[in-house]
Amino acid sequence: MNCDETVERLYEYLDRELTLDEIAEVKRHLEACPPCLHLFRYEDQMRRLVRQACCESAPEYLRARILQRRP
Amino acid sequence: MRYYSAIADVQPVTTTVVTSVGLAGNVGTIMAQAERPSTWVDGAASGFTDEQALEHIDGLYRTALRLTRNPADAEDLVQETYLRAFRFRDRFIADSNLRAWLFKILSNTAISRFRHLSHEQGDTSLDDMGEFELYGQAGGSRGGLGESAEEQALNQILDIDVRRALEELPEPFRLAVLLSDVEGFSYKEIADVLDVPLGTVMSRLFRGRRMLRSKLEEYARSTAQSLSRPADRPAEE
Repeated sequence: MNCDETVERLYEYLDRELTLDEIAEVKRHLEACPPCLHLFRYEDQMRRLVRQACCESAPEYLRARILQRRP
Repeated sequence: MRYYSAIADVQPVTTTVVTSVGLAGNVGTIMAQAERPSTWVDGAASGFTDEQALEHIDGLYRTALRLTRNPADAEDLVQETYLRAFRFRDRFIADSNLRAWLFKILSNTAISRFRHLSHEQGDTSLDDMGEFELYGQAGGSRGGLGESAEEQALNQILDIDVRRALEELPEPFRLAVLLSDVEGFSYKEIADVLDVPLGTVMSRLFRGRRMLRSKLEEYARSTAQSLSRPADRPAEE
């Protein structure tokens, strides 16, 4: 797998949408290619930022309100 | 409407009469209950209980917050989502994906409720780029990325900036990114929730993340600048 093919699979890799064989191929390339590895890590970090920033819980009274008004 | 049309065909299941009940005096009552569609009993037989549905309230709420951008509207949106889910409880297939079903209702409710409030463009032009073309651009954008200084700068970004950047994304991209990055849905699940083909999910994720990335890099740069400034005097021109 070359750089272009690897980068094409970046999101599918991070989103766990690849088969085990494909994952192994991507990993093999990343181990040998620091620039690609860097890109993958950067995108992964971006995604972690997003996930960390969105961790709100629903207020407790909302559950009660929903159960009260439920048909 | 794939999800709904598939489940609309399913009729409420009528429970077969249990004949082995020994208490003769109660048979009439039991039969009367048994002949009702099972969904009438208390919801449990239709596939989910109130408690099972409410397990997903936090994810629905934070998604609603990003969509509406304020807590009061988010609460209303989540409440309406649940009321619809309870009302259409009998259309939910037992043991299928309750979480995705609830997010689908949230998404549809948000679209019908908030579309008129939105100043954003409709999404007809959003998917005109093929996914291959999109993926082709990934290699080109690689060059400027990945210096560790940039990575460090990224760490300085505050959650509130990330939330603001997300909320600035056009809605179809925003929702796809939230469903994947925050809620961890698979592409197939997102395709079901949004009722779009898999390729559209991938291109929305691709474009949404690119837009988000450039916004966050912008924040990171301005944060880095303000951090490198001496605190006691204004920045030099």
